[in-house]
Amino acid sequence: MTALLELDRATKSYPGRDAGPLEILHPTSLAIEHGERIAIVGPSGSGKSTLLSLLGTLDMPSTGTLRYDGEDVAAMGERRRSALRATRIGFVFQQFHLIPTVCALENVTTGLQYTTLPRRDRRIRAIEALQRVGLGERLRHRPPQLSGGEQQRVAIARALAKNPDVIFTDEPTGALDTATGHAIIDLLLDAADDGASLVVVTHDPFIAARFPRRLHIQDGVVTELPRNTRHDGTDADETEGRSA
Amino acid sequence: MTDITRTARPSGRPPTTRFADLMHTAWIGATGRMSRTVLAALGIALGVAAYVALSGIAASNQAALLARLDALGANLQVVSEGRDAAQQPIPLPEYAPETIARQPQVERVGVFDTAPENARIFKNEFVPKSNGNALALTVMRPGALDAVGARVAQGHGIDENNQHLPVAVLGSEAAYRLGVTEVGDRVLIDDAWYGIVGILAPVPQAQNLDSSVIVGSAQAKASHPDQAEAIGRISAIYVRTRPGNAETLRRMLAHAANLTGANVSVNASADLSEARNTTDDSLNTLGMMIGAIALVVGGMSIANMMIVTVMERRGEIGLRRALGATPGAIRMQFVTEAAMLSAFGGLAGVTLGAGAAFGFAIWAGQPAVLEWGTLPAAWVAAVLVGALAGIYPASRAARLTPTEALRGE
Repeated sequence: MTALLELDRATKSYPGRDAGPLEILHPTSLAIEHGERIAIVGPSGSGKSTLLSLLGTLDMPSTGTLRYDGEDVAAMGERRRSALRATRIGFVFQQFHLIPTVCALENVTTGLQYTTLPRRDRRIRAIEALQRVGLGERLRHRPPQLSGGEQQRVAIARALAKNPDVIFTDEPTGALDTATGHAIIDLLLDAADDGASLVVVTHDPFIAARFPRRLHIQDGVVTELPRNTRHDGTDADETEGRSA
Repeated sequence: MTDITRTARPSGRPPTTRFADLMHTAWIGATGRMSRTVLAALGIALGVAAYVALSGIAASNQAALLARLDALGANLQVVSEGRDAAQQPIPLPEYAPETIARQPQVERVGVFDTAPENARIFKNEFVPKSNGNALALTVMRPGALDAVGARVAQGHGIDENNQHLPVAVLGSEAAYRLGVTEVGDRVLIDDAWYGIVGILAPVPQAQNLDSSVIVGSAQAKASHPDQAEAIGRISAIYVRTRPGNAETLRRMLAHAANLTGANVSVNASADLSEARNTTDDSLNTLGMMIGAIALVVGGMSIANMMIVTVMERRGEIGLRRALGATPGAIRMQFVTEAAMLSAFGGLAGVTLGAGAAFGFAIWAGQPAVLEWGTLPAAWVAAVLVGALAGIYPASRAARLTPTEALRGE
């Protein structure tokens, strides 16, 4: 079976100040299988977010290729890549990225706006997704009226509503306190039980410890950490996490 | 759930932006920051209001001016006797008023008869007969004053019922010179007393009436039996026509006045007719130009605001790109938003401008005229200007890569 996502000797460089282009991500090859749960860990500035942008098709590798379901993403063209993100990839960001002036339901519906779903179905799905993250009673609340954890749950509902193949989350707990953060991870792991792959970028080792597969990245070099065999990812085992 | 999932998958071609979504998204964007929306739309609103108000005021002015010109005689022609080769007057035939009245362009016909010669008009019998006062006696047939458009300031005119009675109507100047201030007074004409039944307001379109004492045709003949035949001759026919080509009207009237083709004098107020045609254009052009300038300025304020909006909403742009919006969809979103801002502004402007134009007309006592066709045209122009103003900011938004945009917030 083809891997869901496959990076093949991909690099990412940005124009540097004087010494030529700056390679943020050195040649990296890795594959993400259907339904896999992965944590990407590393210090700030190590290239975590760059790697996530590449995997999420938000950015194209400078060299090398990214394949989605075996198809070269660079060859798809902007419109098909957009359609791919619209229907099969979910994102959850550290700063939530909700539209502050509209209600939770509207925010989740926006997540389906660029699909082919009719408006009525989008609404139904958005309500279902909000109920699933426990916000069924707060459909009409605007982000400023919600707590940080609730806002992040709205963002998760927005990603879940499209039933994605894979959910990418960039420091989803970064703006939350520890307890709320773990509740958010519970929610994400739970949601991934439906078959979606889950890729979480975090600098928090306790959170990383809850994922069976962990990638460590430092100075643009990605290293596969030993498999977290004692973990099934369904419940928190923080003792293991702390010792890791 | 599963079957809905399938419909969400890419179906070969990428989803195109739907109109309802576009409007919805633009609405959210435009109404999200109300104070700024109002301020940005205000530019367009004021532009459209200025245009609508100005063209409305211009139209009102014009209507008032045209009404005045017409009252003055832009459409008033005077038919009088012509002269033959030997400079002898050719009397107008008695049928002339009737044939003239039958012409389709003619609205009203008023007939004045020849006045008795050397009429002497005095306030009373004590005024020395040697004191001339330069007043003229004018003989009219019923309805003549209406055709001229003379307004009676006091009392009434001469009609079928009183034209054979010793009553007179005074022109404004004649009343002043005779010292008559109220109807009911009397004056002495050729040693006979005449009751004053009316005093005219000044008649700029026929100024000879101002210093005239006007009596009915039947009475003039009865009081001057020696000159009855002369009095029975038409001296002038005032013809009120519909506006039209002055030269054509003149020929038509000359022919109708004397079917034998003899000379007839037709005096049209040609200068006024020309003035009528020129006022049409200048005021309209002015309104148009001011409106266009105001719209451009309004468009620039929208463009300015949209550039700020795009910078501020980089995060939202990045999010939408991550959610699957194509650069084209982002561009359309911001162009639509700019056009929607303009549409609000345009609507407010049209209302404001129409209100101002009506208010001005009422205040100035002019007819409240609005060219209704210009209202939707002004609105459409505003929306177009808004859409144009949105293109540059929207293209900047569309050029942002998702990662750049997401970093921006």
